[in-house]
Amino acid sequence: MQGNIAQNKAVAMDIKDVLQLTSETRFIGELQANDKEGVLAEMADALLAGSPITNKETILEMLKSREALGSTAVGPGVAFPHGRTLAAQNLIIIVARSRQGVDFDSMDGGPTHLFFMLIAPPQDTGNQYIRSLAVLTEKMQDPALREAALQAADYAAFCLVLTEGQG
Amino acid sequence: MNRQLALLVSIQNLELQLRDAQDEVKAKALETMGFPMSVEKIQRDIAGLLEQIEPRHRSYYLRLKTRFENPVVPVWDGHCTGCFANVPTAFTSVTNVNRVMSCESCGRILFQP
Repeated sequence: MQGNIAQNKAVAMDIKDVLQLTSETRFIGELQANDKEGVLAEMADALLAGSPITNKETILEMLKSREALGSTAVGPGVAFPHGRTLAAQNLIIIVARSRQGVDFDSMDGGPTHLFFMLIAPPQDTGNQYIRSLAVLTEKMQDPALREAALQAADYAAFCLVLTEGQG
Repeated sequence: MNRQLALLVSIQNLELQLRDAQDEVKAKALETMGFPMSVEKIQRDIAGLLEQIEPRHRSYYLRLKTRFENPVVPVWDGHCTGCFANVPTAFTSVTNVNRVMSCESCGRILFQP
């Protein structure tokens, strides 16, 4: 079903398209934070680095209000904090990992190790935001891929895992 | 950022979430992925934030909302992103960074993203 959401529109998206929306500077190989608020703040810092956005509080408030609707830690060990904000001009994705794991109010109660943060603009052409989310949530259904993504040595290896399913 | 302005920006961000939640296709897609959006909860959150806005700012915001879908907008490259008019450089000065300012051309409330 999720695959259909990503693929059944005029312009299909795949994981390679989604990875175009992030970069090495927006990849945190090992988070320092050990709680939910800290994770969001650390990822917001990565968003601001090299971005015209300067107001971190605006981003954090949006993410917290989205989390208040229900935790975005929906996959086993994976969270997808996301939302639209006036402050974004384009869809931006920040990726982070915590091998130790963080309590992110996950549905299964377990620690969260992988984080994909999607910051979307008020309007996005081709519904890129929701389709990217669909691609990522579907991809992260695979336990072996999740483990390989967590163990990947660096950003390049991480991307390889997601695109080829190998480290 | 001025607390009142931060609240106005938060309200506007919630309005964006509300728009997705009210869009049947998007809401269904999000729900399928495990992200159900409660229209009622978002509306309650918006109402709760509105109560925290000073009456003069609240009435101004609500008036703007009858005219524009986006009554609060960021300033990019010295322009109001609502009407694209130039914003006076005073907007970014230290003196004004903590005030609730509006576009001299369209009246929308401005903030530095």
